[in-house]
Amino acid sequence: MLEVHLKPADYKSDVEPTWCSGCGDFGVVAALTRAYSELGLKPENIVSVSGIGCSSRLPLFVKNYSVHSLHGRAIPVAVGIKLARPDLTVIVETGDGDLFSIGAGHNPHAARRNIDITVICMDNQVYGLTKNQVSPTSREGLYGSLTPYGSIDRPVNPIATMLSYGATFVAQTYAGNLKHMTEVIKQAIQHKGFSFVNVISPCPTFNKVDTFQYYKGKVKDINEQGHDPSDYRKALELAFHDLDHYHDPNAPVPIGVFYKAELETYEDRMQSVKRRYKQVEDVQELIDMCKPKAL
Amino acid sequence: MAFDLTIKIGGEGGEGVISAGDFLTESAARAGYYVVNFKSFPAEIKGGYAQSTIRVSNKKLYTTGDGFDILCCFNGEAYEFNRKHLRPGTVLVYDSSDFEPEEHEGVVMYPVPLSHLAKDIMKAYITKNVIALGVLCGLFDIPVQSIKDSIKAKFLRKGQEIIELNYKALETGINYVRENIKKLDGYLFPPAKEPKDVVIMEGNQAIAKGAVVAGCKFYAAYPITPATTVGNYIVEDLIRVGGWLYQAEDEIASLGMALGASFAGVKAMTATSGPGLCLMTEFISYAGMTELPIVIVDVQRVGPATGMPTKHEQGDLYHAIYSGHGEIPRAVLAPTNVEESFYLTVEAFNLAEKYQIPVIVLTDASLSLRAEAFPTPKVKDIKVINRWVYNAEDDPEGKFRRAGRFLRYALFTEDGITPMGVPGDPNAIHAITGLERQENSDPRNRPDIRTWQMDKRFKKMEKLLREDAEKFYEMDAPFEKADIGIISWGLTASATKEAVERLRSKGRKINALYPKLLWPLRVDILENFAKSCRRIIMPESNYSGQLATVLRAETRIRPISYCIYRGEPFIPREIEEFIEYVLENSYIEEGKFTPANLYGEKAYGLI
Repeated sequence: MLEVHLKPADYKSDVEPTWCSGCGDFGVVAALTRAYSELGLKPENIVSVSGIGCSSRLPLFVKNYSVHSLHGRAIPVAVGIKLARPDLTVIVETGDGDLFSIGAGHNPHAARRNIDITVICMDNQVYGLTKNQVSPTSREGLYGSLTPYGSIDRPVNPIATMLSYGATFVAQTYAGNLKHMTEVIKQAIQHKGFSFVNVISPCPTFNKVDTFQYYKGKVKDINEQGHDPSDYRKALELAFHDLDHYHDPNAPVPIGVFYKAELETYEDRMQSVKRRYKQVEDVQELIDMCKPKAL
Repeated sequence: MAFDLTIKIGGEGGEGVISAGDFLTESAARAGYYVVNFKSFPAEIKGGYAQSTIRVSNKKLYTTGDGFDILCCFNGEAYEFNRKHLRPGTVLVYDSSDFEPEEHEGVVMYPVPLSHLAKDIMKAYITKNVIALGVLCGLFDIPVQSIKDSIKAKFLRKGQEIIELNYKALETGINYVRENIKKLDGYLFPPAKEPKDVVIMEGNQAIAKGAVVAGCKFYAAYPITPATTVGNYIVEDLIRVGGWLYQAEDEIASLGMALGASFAGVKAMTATSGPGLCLMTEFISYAGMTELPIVIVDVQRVGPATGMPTKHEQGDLYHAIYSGHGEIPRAVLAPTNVEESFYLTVEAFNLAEKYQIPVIVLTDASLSLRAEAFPTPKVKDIKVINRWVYNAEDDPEGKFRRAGRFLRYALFTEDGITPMGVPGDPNAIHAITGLERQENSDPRNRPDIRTWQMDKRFKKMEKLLREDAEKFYEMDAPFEKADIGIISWGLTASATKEAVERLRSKGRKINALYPKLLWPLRVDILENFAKSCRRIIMPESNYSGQLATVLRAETRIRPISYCIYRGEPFIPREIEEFIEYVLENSYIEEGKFTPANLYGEKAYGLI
């Protein structure tokens, strides 16, 4: 049921994005505001949290409560917000560097605990705001200002990683397909539990390899091809092929919902623990516990 | 009649040394005495040397004193650790079925076969500690009934059988003394008084209780000695008031989570120790920039790096005051005893909420483990301040909104404090960011905006100094012109108070100032105090004399620092002797001294 009827434009703030023209992240704002609109969410009940980087400016461009936090730290801030206020819709908008490099210590724990937040990673396989360094998802051989010889690191597989951490909703979508993005983001927000969406969002300025041109014709919707997202093992198997296109020019880039499971969330478990404890009427009781014990 | 007795119990970890000390502490409080207890145990999980020092008196106590009057050794190791402190006039009670000590000049020795009594008479080795308590009762007239009450309260859940067993163990100890020991010393507990209305808390427990009283509802924890027990103590209380403790993946995350909760409208805190505080530094900076209220407790331990995790030092003051990139409005509070750990935690929340700043509470390893009996706090009488939450009804002209946007960082308030918007309120939707920004949160690099926003943030500190700082300066300056003025902070202030009392009773003219707010500083109060003293002495347990250095930078005070950094807190006698030393050497006007200056090489064997 819709809470309100607002148009996508009503969820845009009057702060103009500072992104380069042709940036995939514009598409993410469009998909996100559409998703908000179609889900009928009230702007005041949404909190957008980000870290640092090009993508992480996103919360400033949408109309909702926004936290533009620190390098790699969006997830802890989001977890604090969600646990303090389970009634809010909490969305993390972040980038591949933030999520899989500097902040890589945080997402496993929010995922394995199934905290009901949505993490959208705008993956452009490069550090843009610091002007062209390779990121954890960069393909081997990509040139960056710190790797003039071409990257010699192997890339992280975002989908397989998040599946193995225990995320209960894992999907990939593509900034060149607004309809698909909107649909996947909607599902992710609606999902009860930790949801992860990797958005392939090409960088027109620094990444001259993984471009819209490159992805066009390569992206294939796995759900259309019959993948059942409730099958965890199948999801993992598919995920292993996520990076094949780096080595095989004919390999497709899979998009769609890899995995989805309705499991108890951390918040549910927290509430059931709380019910086991008797609430105090007056905090004085807690102080009086420290008196020499009454007989 | 002045009554002041320190009993030290030492033995193998796991033999009940700590719980015997706890029984004594609780019984003393129950019997109406003042009591302070300090326990220490090895960093190992099992075994090793454990000890509990309990000082009992009928006057207010600041420390566990200079040493002990009565030493009760459960094994030979405890004796080896403490034998050099057996001076004439002290009493040694020891387990004669475990070891035989040497003769000590002027020391009264009471051999008691504790292990034998436990194993062969009681047929339960675990009762050894209660037998020892019985022995102490028999020897020193400790009120038996109050010990029995403590035993009963502790074992109530375990059933009558366990209570009876322990009563019998207590009687066994008492009877052993009656039948076998001739009293040779003069130490006696006076008859029990009417019990006072007190609570007994450990330092970290007092912080936990203070936080709950202040209205804290979210605590993010990452285990680190000696701060972990704040979380241990708060976790269930927090649930019982509708809050939650979350064990984070690291210290960075724990402060990030607490800030998230604070943004969401909930009072939040985290506690850590030095290494953890280092990790949190970036977020401390962020809290100052985004103006989020937050309380961070730093239970200092010996550094640098991993240092000595279970030992005392006041080494994080610089970090608390200066850490972080850029210039950050913040407050630093330091309690001097357990009771203050409670009340200053409430104050920390109040300052954080009123000024929307990070507030750091600095305690230390020794204070965290020290237990004290103090008057039961009356929750109703404690003032709790909540943040200014925006309410559109109070703002009919829409002062805090422009072009439909909420001005979280509005510049027109006189004191720099602006209302916070809480998610869920359609009238206060806004962003927060660590970037410099306009009144409506838009990032901006303009020089004028930068200057105004800096001024806004630091205006809050000026107000804090004006309205709230004075009460954190405990002044004890009876002399118009004292020969010596002492300024000390944290646990060192407790030892200082005792030293000052002793010196004054010898006729020395000493003024004292105990600041609990270490940042920002009321320079006027500090300098006025200094004017009332010929020379200023600042004892600190750190290498460089950190507060003294800060005062040299911020005020015209030129103190004489006295620094120890061995991992143990000052004992009152050390401070007393240093003051006498300075009084004798009138040429000393400023500088930094250590025990080596007074005692030479002997200093290393002092404690």
